[in-house]
Amino acid sequence: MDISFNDLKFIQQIGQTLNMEERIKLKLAILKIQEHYTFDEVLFWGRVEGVEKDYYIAMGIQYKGQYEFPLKKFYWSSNNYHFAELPKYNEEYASRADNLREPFTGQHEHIVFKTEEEINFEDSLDIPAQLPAKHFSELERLSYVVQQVEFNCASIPVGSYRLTPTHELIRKAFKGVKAELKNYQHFRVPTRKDKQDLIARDEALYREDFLDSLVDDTPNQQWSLQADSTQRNITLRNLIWPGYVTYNNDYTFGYAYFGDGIKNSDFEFLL
Amino acid sequence: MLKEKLQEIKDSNTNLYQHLNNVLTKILLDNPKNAFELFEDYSFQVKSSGFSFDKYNEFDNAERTKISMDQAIQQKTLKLVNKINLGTDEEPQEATQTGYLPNLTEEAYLYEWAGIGIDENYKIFKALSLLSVTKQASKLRFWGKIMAREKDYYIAEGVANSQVEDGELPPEVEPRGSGVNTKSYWACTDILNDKDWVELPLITPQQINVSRQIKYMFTGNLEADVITNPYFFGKEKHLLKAQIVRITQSTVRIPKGQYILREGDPREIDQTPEYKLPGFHELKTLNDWMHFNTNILNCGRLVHLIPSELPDGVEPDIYQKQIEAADPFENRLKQLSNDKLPNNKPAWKIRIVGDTTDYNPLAKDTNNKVNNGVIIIKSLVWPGLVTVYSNKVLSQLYYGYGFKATTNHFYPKQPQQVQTEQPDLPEQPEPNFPAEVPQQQQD
Repeated sequence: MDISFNDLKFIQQIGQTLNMEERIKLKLAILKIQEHYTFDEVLFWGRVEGVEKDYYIAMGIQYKGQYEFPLKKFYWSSNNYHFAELPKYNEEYASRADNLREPFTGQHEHIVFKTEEEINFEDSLDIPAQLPAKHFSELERLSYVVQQVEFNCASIPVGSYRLTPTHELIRKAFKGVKAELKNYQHFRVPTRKDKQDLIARDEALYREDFLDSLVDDTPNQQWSLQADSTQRNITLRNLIWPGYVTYNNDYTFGYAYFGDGIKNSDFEFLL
Repeated sequence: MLKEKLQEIKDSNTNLYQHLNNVLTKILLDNPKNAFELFEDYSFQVKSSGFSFDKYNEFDNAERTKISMDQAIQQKTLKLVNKINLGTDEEPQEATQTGYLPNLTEEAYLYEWAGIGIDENYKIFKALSLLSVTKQASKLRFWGKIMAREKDYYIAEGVANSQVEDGELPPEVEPRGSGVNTKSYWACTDILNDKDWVELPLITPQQINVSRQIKYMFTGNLEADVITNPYFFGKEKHLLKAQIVRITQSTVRIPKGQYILREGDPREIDQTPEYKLPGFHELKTLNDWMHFNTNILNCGRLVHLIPSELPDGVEPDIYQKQIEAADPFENRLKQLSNDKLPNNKPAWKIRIVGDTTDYNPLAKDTNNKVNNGVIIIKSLVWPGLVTVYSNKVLSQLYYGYGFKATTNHFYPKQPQQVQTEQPDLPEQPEPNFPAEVPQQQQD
């Protein structure tokens, strides 16, 4: 969401918000990210709550010069409001990270689980040297959660972005959509074949639903579309990652994650 | 002249004039940078997709339905906001007496410091006042919001009007006003509609026990069937009440020392005489807080049930001791620091936010310093439960889906094995005795 934090009223529908101190400090810290790498847009992505401290995530998006989909870079900070780039997580342990249910502690060096990796140097003649195993730290878990939520949940209304003939994404003058699930699409590189075909044939230039639609997500009931009592502020929530919200009003839209970073893996059993 | 000329050059669906209109409209709408190169492409696309500029509703906009919908909603909102001032129903009446209702708008400011946002708190507050008047409920407060799949529930807690009759209840159900049914809860999905507040029904111990074993995501419809294994006897409103009661019983917190155990009956508590709510510094750690409510026992009630007919030869006192030994009470007024989750992790997290400097008070003769810091305690067992304390205001709220934090994956209990039927015995022919030969009579 935008760092003017005007959109916090949408997040209040799930009962989360940022207090005054957080808003002021985050705004300054996020603007500072631009000193190192100039993005087209720097947005506040969300807050992952931990027991002792919370993590704040910011996202920089670069549209110009990117073919087919803008570049997204993530930054994290703890309560000291000093943003650093979010490192990549070790992919071998991704599936184990998926099933964790304990809350984040807030200490980013905290070891979530120990890995038994031995790295042997093969060109050493006598005794293979072993590097100490690099355990899966909480920072990697954070990185994994952020990537998962962004991939599985990040969504925008149809008609908000357009693909230019040079295959760049630009934002359009957005006029609002009807509150139906089919009017939302994923904000990621299209993975489904029909959308990839559209883009390959260049037909996507003329359509506004050229990204993966939310309707095709399985299980389909993971999306919950609700409006507040004015029926104008619409939030689209994900039930597998509770805390994720895409919000949309007539003229504004955006998304954010405010939660504890734990996936609701039992979702299929709850229906 | 030119227009008619162009209109004469026709295809089956449209004519050239129409087509040029459509192409130009599309180009204007899309505004591509290299429209010149793409002109033929656009023409081809418009022909194949059948775009027509006068039927243009690219965004599925429905602007007009929105405006009429708006008017209906504005009417309802006005009605809600004005009703309590003018009295219930359309005629203005004298303002009726209502029970105590905490000022939600002020508390919302405290919750914002905790990171909990209450949307539309003024409307909720008005809806609660209306509830208090119409149902004559006292001690009403906003309990929280339980999120569900289609619509969210706003929950209010209070004590219902004593004139409500429940009829005959089975003996193991604790009657209204005692045990798990002490407080009444109302749920509503649409705060603009004051008739929507539904009182949640009384629950049985069986329902509490089953709710401990299942994990269910609410749909937003109070009358929905709850289909789980083990079977839950009741509708969604019963399960909702059961979850609310479980959450409340295990998480209401008060500062240490506000209540003391009653002598002679250690399960009852009394308010400490001459107690003043402590200042900021005395409540900064988990040790300074304690539980207020009793725990729900394993049997699903707050107090053990002594059946009216005891087995022979057993004294009532001994029987009571036996039951209590089997299903022991937990101590009342436990400290929060002793609570632990099953995997030995802490069950609460406490934070201090806000401005924590001590200010000298305005009046020169008091010694108490003023501190505007906010103490936040969040539960890790029932994520979403928050207690805030600042400047002598203590308040509690729940915002969540109604789930307990679990350390293991949830597997629904397997239904019991259906045993195979015994194979039928093969049919045998009926034994046919030969016709009886009458015995010869002896002379």
